[in-house]
Amino acid sequence: MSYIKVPYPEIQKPTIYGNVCYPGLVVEVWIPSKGYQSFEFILDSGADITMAPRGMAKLVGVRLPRKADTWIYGIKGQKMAGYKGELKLRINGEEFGVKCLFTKSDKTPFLIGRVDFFSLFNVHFDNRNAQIILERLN
Amino acid sequence: MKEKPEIGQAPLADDVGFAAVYKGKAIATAPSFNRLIDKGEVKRLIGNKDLIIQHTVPEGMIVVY
Repeated sequence: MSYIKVPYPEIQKPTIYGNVCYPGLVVEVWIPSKGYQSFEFILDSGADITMAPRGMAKLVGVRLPRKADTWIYGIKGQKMAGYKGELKLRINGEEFGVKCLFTKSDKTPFLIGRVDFFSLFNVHFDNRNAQIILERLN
Repeated sequence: MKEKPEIGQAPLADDVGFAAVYKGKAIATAPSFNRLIDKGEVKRLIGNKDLIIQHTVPEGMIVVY
């Protein structure tokens, strides 16, 4: 069984309710002609799918179609166009691919959602030790 | 220098954005991802193992994705 332990990049994040843990995950994204580049994603178990801003599509060499593949709904009920894609990722030397949605916005944060990622890994938020433990499943 | 919002005021929208951190030090920030990666130094460093690109929100802002 293979485990990857990744420390939270920021142990506590201050809010009006006090400090909360911050499940950031530094993940390398494959960029053709440049190699792997590190991005700080948020491991978001509430997100269906991995998301990235449209500029990421350009960086990884994906040309977005004119027509949206789907719509993404935010907490205010607003919708945003989403475009299907894939990212080749690496964490601690483990390479894998995940399906993702590139958003029309260029301000979307980097989120890792459940599609693919939660099939590849069991995820343990080890808040006491401020780390994410990933258990590779296949 | 940007004014810090008072408690009860909405954080400045301009403070939400992206940062490029090289060897632990922020070398560039921008309100959008494209504008960040178009900055010369960031463009030059893409692919460097010491560069991390992150999304940023102002301290104290509640974030729900």
